Amino acid sequence: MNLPTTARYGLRLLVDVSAFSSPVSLSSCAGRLGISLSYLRQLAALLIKAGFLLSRKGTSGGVLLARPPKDISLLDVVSVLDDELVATKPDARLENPYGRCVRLFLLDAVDASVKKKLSGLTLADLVERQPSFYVI
Amino acid sequence: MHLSTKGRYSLEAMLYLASVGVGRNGKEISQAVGIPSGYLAQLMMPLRRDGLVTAHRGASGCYALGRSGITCGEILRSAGEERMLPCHGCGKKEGCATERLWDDLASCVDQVLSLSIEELASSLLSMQKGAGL
Repeated sequence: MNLPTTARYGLRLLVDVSAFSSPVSLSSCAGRLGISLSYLRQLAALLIKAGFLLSRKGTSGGVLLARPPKDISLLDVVSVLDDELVATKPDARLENPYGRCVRLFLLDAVDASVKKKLSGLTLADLVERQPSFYVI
Repeated sequence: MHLSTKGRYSLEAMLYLASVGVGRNGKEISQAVGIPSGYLAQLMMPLRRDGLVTAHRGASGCYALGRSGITCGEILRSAGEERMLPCHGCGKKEGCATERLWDDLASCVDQVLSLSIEELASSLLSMQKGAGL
């Protein structure tokens, strides 16, 4: 299973931002997370567009959570960051019965199981798992 | 869920073997799955190494399931689907906020993949019956 790096880093960005009550600059996030700033900007743009983050301009600008962590469903975030995790790509070749069986009874079952797990979790569940030094 | 073609064809070949219940030669398997027989031979190599299939050489040579109760997860791991494990190769585990989440998701995936190839074959049978085949 291909667990996408975009989903992983996107979630880490949200967790990082959630530790602050005022806007936080992406360059400081990049330092803490060890991710390049340009990649983080792309992720943040996706998350802002989807309404999970708000962007504030100016010298003390940056990004902040648009909603409390408990109102941000992990399934929603992961769906925005990666379609593959929640939707099996249709196979380009003509599907034989064995391929169809694998897709219907195995791959779709994996997707459903992952989706079910994610739908029961919010950002608050991830934040609570954070080590205390993160909360400033 | 995204699978490499290697993992997917390996599953299909094994499913075919499980559904027919007896040994089949490479040509029959490759025709059923719709892949070249040379490619099938490549797919069979790691499966043989891990004891998931047995191969008999010669004029009446064939491949057969190595044992009963082989799980789909075992087949995929043998076929080199390493990225099923979350954070595989990620060096930033220390204090990673999402590590536990990916571990939880991995156990969801593992649970589904513990389905045996025989169970999948019985789903295939019911699917074919349902389609009136």
